[in-house]
Amino acid sequence: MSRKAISLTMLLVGIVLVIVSYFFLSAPWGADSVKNSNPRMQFAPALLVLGVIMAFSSAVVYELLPDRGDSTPEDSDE
Amino acid sequence: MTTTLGDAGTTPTRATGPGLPQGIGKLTRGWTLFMAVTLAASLFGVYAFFYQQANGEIVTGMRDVGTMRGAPWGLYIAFLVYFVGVSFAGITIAALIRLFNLERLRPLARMAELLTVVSLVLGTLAILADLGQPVRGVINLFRYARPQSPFFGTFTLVIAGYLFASVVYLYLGSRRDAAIMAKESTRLQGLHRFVAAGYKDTAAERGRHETATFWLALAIVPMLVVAHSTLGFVFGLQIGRPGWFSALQAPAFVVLAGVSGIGLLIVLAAVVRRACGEQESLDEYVFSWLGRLLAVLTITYLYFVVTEVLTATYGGGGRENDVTDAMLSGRYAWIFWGSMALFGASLVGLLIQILTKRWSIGALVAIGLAVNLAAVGKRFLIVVPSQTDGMLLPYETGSYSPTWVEYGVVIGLIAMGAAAIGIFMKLIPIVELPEEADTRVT
Repeated sequence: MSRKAISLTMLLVGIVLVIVSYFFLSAPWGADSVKNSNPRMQFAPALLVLGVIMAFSSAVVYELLPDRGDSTPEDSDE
Repeated sequence: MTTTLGDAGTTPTRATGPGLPQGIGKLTRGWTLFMAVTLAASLFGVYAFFYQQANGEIVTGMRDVGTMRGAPWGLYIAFLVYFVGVSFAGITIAALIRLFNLERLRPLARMAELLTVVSLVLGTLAILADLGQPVRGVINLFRYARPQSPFFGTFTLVIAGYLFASVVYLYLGSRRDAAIMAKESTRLQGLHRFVAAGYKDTAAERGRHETATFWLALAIVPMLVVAHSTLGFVFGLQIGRPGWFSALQAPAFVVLAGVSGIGLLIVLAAVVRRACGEQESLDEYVFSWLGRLLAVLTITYLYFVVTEVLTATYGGGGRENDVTDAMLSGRYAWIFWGSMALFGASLVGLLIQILTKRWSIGALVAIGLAVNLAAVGKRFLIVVPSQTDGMLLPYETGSYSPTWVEYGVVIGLIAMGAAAIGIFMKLIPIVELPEEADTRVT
């Protein structure tokens, strides 16, 4: 798997984690009762934070991971 | 100061003087003294924090509103807002430099990123100091927090996302310089190799770096506006708290964040210019650019203040008037008018320099410090008077005076931030090393 593909996967997984944890696992929208104030899954907010961190980590992976599938002449001449 | 690397496989050469550039690794007398003072102050802050942990928040000036006639949010929250505000300008400037290729401002980029990271960490520590049970607070935040709440936005978007994005941004930008440093056989070579993480400065790596930082910058700019607005919403959405409930809170937070951040960046740039001998890269143009931006932001913020005060005094209800009176002519008046005087004097100083086109770095540093002092005052006024004087329930007016514990923690936090920047300056170039035609690292 190339570096670019891994980075994009990380970015997408991060974004999906953010969306899923925000809309489906955290406390639902609306404040009509006390039961609405608890998350549907405990530690859902931690998943949201993890998603944000994963999305931004994809930039580090994109820069640091050595090339395998899409190396360029500039890389190989080193 | 210029640093060059030889062609691949040759020994690097340096254009000026022996050792690493920007005084990296050199422990001068001034730096040692600075570190001794900041570390002593940091230790005092740590002592104050643990004293508070051991004895409870009763040792602070914070009390419940209403029956205890106090304010549960005090100096810590005022400084949380201040620190997060400072971070705004840093990363904004850094992102704008990358997005719009503002080459002449590039020497500011890394110190701006560093300022953001340090101030966000300080903001996190400030909020932890405010909690009676910090560990429980952190665990329950990740366990139960409600993402729709502005509080959650502040903790996740600001502290987790924004801090992490800034660290990534700072790290990726530092790799090239670390790789250049790693060519030198010094005590720091291991650290520089670790930070460089195999960076060789090939055309492909540069391309990847440009792509990554461009997209990072593009993601960070809207996120930071959302993050800072969210912090404003913590106050602005509280319907039952006269003085806080206002549509202007979020934009005013963003603008004051810009004012304090740019002010501190000017101070830091002046310190770096002198301490690292960066007179060439941090020239008058850089300072005049920051000065003009600071003038525009200060004018905008003063406009917000006038609008806010005019609206509150003209159409405010009973308790709204109480808050405004406390600020304009009551016991908080000296803070309000003191802050306004500092903003006003700073603006006059900036306008004189803009009109005469004669810039004084010393004057800009004084202005940078003045607007920060004023910003601290304004942050205090945003947080405290609405709690002591803005109750809708029929309680008596409250009061809040910070104790030595709170002052100690805040002084400790500021000192920790200064020490962190001081340590960074001795490890990694705080001003990006100049581009060279052929600087491949081998």
